[in-house]
Amino acid sequence: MRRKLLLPVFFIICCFQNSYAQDQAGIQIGSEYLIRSNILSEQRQYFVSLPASYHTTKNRYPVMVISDGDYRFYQASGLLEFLSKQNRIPEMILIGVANTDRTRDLTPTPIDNNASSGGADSFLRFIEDELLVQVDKMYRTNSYRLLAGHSLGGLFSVHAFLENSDFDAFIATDPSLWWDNQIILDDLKDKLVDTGFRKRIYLSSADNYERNEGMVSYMRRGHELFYARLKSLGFPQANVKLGYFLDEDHGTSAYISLYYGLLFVYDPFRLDDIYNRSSSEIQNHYNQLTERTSSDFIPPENLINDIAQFRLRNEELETAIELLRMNANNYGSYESYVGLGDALARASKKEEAQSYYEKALEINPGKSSEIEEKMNELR
Amino acid sequence: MWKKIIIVFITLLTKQGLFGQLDEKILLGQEFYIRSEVLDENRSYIVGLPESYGETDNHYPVIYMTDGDYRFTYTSGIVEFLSKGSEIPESIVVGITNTNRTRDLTPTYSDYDTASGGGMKFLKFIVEELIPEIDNSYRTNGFRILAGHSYGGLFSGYAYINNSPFDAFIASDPAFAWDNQWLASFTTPENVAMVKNKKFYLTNADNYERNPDVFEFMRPAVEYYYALLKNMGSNQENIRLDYLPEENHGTCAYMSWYLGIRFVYNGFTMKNVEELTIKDIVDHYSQLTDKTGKTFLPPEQLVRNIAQKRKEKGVQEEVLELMHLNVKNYPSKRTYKALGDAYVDIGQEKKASKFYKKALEFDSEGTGVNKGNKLNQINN
Repeated sequence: MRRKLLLPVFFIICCFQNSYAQDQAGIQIGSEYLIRSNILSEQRQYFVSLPASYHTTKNRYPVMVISDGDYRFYQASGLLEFLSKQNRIPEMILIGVANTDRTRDLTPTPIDNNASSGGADSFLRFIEDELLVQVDKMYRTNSYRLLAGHSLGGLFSVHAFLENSDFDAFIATDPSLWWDNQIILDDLKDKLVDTGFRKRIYLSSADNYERNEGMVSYMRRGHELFYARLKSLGFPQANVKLGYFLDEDHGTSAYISLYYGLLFVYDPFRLDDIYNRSSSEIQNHYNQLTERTSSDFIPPENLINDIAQFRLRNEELETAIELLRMNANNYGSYESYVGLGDALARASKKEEAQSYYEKALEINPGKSSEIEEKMNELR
Repeated sequence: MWKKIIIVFITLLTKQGLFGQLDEKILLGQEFYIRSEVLDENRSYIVGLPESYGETDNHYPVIYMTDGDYRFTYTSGIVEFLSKGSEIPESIVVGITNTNRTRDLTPTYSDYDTASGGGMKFLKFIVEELIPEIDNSYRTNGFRILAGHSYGGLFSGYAYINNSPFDAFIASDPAFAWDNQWLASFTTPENVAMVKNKKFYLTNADNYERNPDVFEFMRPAVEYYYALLKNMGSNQENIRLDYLPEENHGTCAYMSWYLGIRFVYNGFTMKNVEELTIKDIVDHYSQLTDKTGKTFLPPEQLVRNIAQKRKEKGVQEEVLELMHLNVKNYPSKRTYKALGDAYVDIGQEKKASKFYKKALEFDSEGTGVNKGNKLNQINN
């Protein structure tokens, strides 16, 4: 009998959770801008995608920058939207930087047969001192920054990691560490300052045999050497990962390894067995995440609400109220006040319930008939 | 039947006017309405067109999905990525949005949920009203995929075994336990024989955490159904079940889509391109066309990549032949220009200018990432 009751409830909840985080703008994923760079002496184009909740909260968000932005913006925005809705990573502001001279910008040193190469230092300065300064002015960002890139873009991510940049985490998918006789692997010990040891870096390695027989061992060797040298310097195991993607070639690996890279840099973002945790355990988990990343991470509103509803179904009223209280404190949104009010009403804490309904109404006076109905039920 | 374009713009911050010299919105697609006589209600759906849609007169396969409002963005990202790499053909993406989700996605009525049981009607709506609308409004090649998750996966399974006019089906962590495994009891060897040539991709997630009571019978139901299909003679090459132990019921939908779309188009792209002759390439896609009965052309980007390799090897004649192939399959500003460039490379300026002139006859060119703007141009 219990099963029979649970099945529909479960699927309704899934559905509810889905629509909860939904936004009318599902069809628009972002906007395109230009910025004049004095460092690069040229105009640059970039793309911005804001998280679904951006316009309904006052929260500040981490920033993810992706190189080859003109090519990778769609895929990255779809990925961020999905993973954050599923509470596996935080919602982020995505910045895609479009290319002008790709090889110049993404390579750290010049090589003979490529005259314009070797401009990574300038490009990194442009991103940090011009682009992100602009982004911080335009949007509610927090201090957490993630840099992702593929191939030469992956080389650039590793370069930024070693140059003690402002970024906190790096994703380098099938990176071209072979560049200039693997020059990036030289003198790691001197390049890697103390703060670097607290940062996270994810690398992936694809099966490149088909595309270029000679290149595969060369590519892979760079990844493995880098990984081994980092570890031999005492780089924390928890902060570096090299993922192998043997079903993917250089091109196709970019997508799936970005997925796993995002999960790694935030791991553990979501608390294990979270549906059975108390509100204080959950809050502690996010406090630790905040400490680890030096950025504000708050338990996601829809996840906490989902857990509270799960607790309510199990008749664990007190635990549910604690959870909803946490949401009301963290978010102060109409939904969080109504959710808390409803649970309090169910626990016959009428006065307190009423006070939260009133707060909800203050935020959204347009909902007066719904709130009034709830108040009437209280009486 | 009427159709109305609604353009969903968020009013972006006025701040942007202050900072950005350019404020172009990046749109993935647009929402349309259709009056359904079958369901006796107005329904909406979201359509995303491939990047090259406005540049050529080509016909494209379509990926349909249920729960479309929730799944449209990431599906577009996956399709865009995989088609750019020529792993799959460029495709039109159609998301069918919900009105009464449980009603539409469950094929039978069950006391489990009193809203249930409208799946048969919903399939009728898709087959008799929505698909014709899409085929009339866009250049489609007739190849269709239906993807769904959870109840949507149940619906995909139901559409599959009914031999509905899709060529491939994706059921992500599907609710096959529905109504005492009704789907399994409905399935007969005759049904299975009819869908033998269609592809069916299934996944199972690790669902323990969220609700152990439900999921102890969710996964076995899917495994049972998969075994049943095999026992009834399904073509092993065309069905596949993957277990995704690192994902839960919610999170598995993404990977299911990615892996499922790749499974459906397994063998579409060509590897070891350096060793291929042009005839190999042409033959490969005409075989695919024969096999599916739907037109598939050698992807423009793949042909271009192969031409690049040939150019590096100094085999100019083949470069020309490949560029001619692209012009023939995808007559556009871009392909004519590339053909002109190839003639410049071998010093035949006169021929080159002829093709450059051809290129100028086309007025649109790809606008890169901002394909949304192009969408507006096409539809308005």
